[in-house]
Amino acid sequence: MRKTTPGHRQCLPDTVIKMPSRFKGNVEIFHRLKEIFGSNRVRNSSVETLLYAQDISPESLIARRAGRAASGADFIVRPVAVEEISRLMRVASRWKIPILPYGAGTSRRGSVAPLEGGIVCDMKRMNRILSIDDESLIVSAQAGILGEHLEHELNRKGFTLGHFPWNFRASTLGGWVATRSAGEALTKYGGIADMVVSMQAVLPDGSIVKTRTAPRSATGPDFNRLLTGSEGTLAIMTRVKLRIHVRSRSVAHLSFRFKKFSDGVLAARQMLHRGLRPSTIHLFDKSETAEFFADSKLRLSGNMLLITFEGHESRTEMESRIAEAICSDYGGDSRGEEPSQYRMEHRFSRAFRTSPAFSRKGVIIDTIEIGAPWSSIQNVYESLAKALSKRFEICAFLSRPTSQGAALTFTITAKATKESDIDLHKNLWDKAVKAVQSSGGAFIPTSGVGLRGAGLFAEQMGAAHNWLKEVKVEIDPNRILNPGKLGL
Amino acid sequence: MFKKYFREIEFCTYCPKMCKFCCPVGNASGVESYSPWGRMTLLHMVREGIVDFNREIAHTMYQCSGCMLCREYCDHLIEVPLVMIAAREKAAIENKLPWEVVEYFKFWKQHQNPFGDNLSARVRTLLPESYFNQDAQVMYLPGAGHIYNNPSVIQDTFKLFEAMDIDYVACYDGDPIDCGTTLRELGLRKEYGANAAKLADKISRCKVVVSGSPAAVYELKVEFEQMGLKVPPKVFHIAEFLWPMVKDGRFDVRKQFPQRVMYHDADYLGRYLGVYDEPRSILGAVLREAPVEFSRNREKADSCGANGGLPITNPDLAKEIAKARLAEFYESDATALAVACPDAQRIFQSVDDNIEVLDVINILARCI
Repeated sequence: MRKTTPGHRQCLPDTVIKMPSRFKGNVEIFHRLKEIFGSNRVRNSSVETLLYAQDISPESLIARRAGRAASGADFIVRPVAVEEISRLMRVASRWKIPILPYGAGTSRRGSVAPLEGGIVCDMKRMNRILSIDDESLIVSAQAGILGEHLEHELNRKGFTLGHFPWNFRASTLGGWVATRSAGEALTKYGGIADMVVSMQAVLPDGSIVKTRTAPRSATGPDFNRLLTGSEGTLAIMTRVKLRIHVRSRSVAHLSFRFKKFSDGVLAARQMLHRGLRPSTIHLFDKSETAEFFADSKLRLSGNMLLITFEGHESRTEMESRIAEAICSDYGGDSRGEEPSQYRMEHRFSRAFRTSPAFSRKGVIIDTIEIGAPWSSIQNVYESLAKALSKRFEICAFLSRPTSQGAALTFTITAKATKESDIDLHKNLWDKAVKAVQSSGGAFIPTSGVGLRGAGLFAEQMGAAHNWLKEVKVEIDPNRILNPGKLGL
Repeated sequence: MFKKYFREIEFCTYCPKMCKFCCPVGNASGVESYSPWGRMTLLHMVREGIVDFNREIAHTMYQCSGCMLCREYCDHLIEVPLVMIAAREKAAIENKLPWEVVEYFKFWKQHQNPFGDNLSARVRTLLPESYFNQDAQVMYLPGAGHIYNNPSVIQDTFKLFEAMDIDYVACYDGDPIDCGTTLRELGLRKEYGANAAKLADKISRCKVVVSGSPAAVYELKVEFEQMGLKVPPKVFHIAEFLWPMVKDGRFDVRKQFPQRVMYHDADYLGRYLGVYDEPRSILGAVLREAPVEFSRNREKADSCGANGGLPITNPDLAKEIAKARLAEFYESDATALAVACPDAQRIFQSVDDNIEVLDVINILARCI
C-alpha cells in the first residue's frame, strides 16, 4: 500500500466530521466478528476495504482520477441470516464501532462512505426471493437481492414490480428502500415507498422488528415509512414484502415532437390531469434528444415527448387515443412508436455517459434531480438552464409525472479551465442549488441523500430535521449506524 | 497491459457498475472486488500508484469466469475478461501467481494436458485405425475434455460422418492434442504460445479443421491467428459443420429423441464464436418439440462457470455458478440438458450427476 489518502474526506463538505478510524487492526473485534460470521465471511484486507470505500459519486471519481482514494472501513462482513446481523449490532454497540450497510454501492452521494472507519455489512449474500403470493400479488425477498434479478424472476412468473430506477442493474432491494428510490415507471406503479407492504429490520440494539403485512394500514404511525429513506441510519433492513403487478400483455408506444419544451410540459400535465396513467413519460429537451438519439438511425431533433402505456389492450388503445388528441392540441407532431420504443430499449444508456466524460482530463459529469409542482416546473427548468448553460453543457428531461408535478433531471458536463476539478464541481453545485432554491424546486436525489446531499436535505426539512435527529438518538444512542449520512 | 487496456480500465472504473447484475462470479460470491467494476477499479488504482500490484490483487484477477457476458450489457463493448488475462500475465511475469495456478502448470507440463493421461494414445483407442489418416485435408480435432470425460462424442461424431457418407474427415491424434485454452486463460502466455506453435505446425497443412470443442475452435480461429501462426483457412465447430448436411437430408432421422430437452449456450460457442442457431437447428431436427430455452439465452445466456480458469483457481465458486444456471433447468419440464461444449457438460455433471447432460452430437447420433 503506497499512497492511500483520505480522498473522501478532502472532498467532503466542511460540515462533515472527519475522524480517523479507531478500530484499525483491532484483533478483539475481528475475533468477535469471526465468531459470528465464520472466517470466510469476514475480511479485514486493506485492498478489499479500500475498494468498498470507492463509490461512483463524482467526488470519488475525481479523487481516483487524481490518484487518490477514499480511506476504507476496517472490516467487511457478509451476513446470510438476520440473526447474524442482530449479533453484529450488539458487538458494534459494545465497541461503538460504525456499521455501514452496503448493497451494490452505486450511491452518487457518498451514502456508503466510511467516514469513521467501521464494519461494512455487505448484504448481497442475503439475496433470495422467499415467496411470491400470486393471489395477493405480494413478493417477499431478502434485502440483498439485486433489483434486476428480482424483476427478472418476477417476469418469468408473469409479474412485474414496476420499479426501474436509473441504477436498476446495479442496486439492491435494500438499497432501493433505504434511499426511497423512484423509478421511471412511478406514474403507473408508484415509487418504492408505495410498494412496500411490510419489512423485517434489525435495530441497533440487536432487536429484530417486523411490520404487519396488510394491504392498507390505518392504525398509528407507519413504521415502514420511518425506515424507508433512512439510508441505513436507523436500522438494517433484511427482508421486504412488496406489491407486485400482473405483467401487461399490451404495450403501446407514442412519440411527439414539440417546438417548445413548455408545450410538451403542458401536454404531459394535461394527460395526468385527464386521468391517464402511462407507465413512463419522458419529455426530452433539444439537447437531451440530440444526446440520447445520437447513435440511433432515427435522426430526431427538438423536444421529444416519449410515452409508454401498459395494460389491457382495450385500455392502452383508449389511453393512446386520448394522449394523441392532447398532444395534437398542444402542437405535438406525432413521430410514431419507434422513438419511444428506442428509449425503452436503451433506457439505462444514460448511465454509460459517465465513463467517457471522466476519462477526459478536467471533465466532470453529474446529474441533478429536481422535483417541482406543475405550477413552477417550467420556471425551474428555465432557471436551471439559464444558470448553468453559460458555463456548462447541459441536457435535461422531465419524467415521473404525477397529477401534482414531475421530476426534472439535468445532466451537466463541465470542463475545467483554471480551477481544480473539485472547485469546478463545487461551482457547478453552488450554481444549481441557488437556481433551484430561487425557482420553487426541491432536490430529489433518487440514489440517496448520502453525504453530499445532507446539508441541503437538512435545509429542505427545516425544523423536522431536528426531530429526525432526536429519533436517531433514541433508536441509535451509540450512533453506530451509517454515521454522517442524512446529516445524522 | 496498462497502456494496451487504458480505455477499458478507465471506462470501467468510472462506470456505475452497469454490468454488475450479469457477472456470474460477482453474483455467486457477493464480493464487490470480484465484480467486473471491482477488478477493473483495482487495476486502475494500481495504475495510478494508489496500491501495489500485490498477491491479493493478482489473486483477485483470477476471479473471472471469462464468460464475456459483461460485454453484452456494456454500451462501450468493454471486454473485461481480456484485461483479466493481461493482468494474469503480469502476475506470471512478476511471480505472483496463485498457488493453484502454479500447481496446475506443474501438472500440465508433466502431461501436456490438464487431465494427466496420454490423450493422443487414448483417442487412438476410440476409433478404428483407418480414421487416423494424418494426411487428410479435413481434420477433426478432438477436444481434450471430450477425450477424457466423454469420448462417446468423438465416436458419435464419426458415426454421423459414416451415416452421411463422409469419408474425407480424419481424426487428429498428434501431440500436442490440447489447444491450451486454460494456459492462456491463466496468464501462462509463454507456455501457451509454445504449445500453440507446436499444434499449429501439426495441423497447418489441413484445409479444414472441425472440432467439438468451442474453445479449440476459438483458439485456432482467433488466438492462433492473432499470434501469426499458420492455421487452416477454415475452422468450424462440429455443429456448424454438420447442420448444412442435416438440413440437406444427408441422412435419415429414423427416430425422434424421446425426451424434453433444454439447451444451454456455452460461453465460447456463443459469445466468443457467435454460434447460436446451428445447435438449436440440429436439435430441432430430432426433437418432437423445439428445445426448451433458458430465460436468459443466446448472447445473454448465463455462464456455466467452466471457463476463465475458474475451476482451477476457485472450484467451489465455479460450481456455485453452474448450480445457479441449473436452477431454471430444475423448474422446467425438460428431462435432459443439451450442450455443445465438453467443459459445460463436465461442470454441470459434476454438480449434479443425477441429471442427464448430453452433447448435441450424442443426441443426434441416437436418432439415426
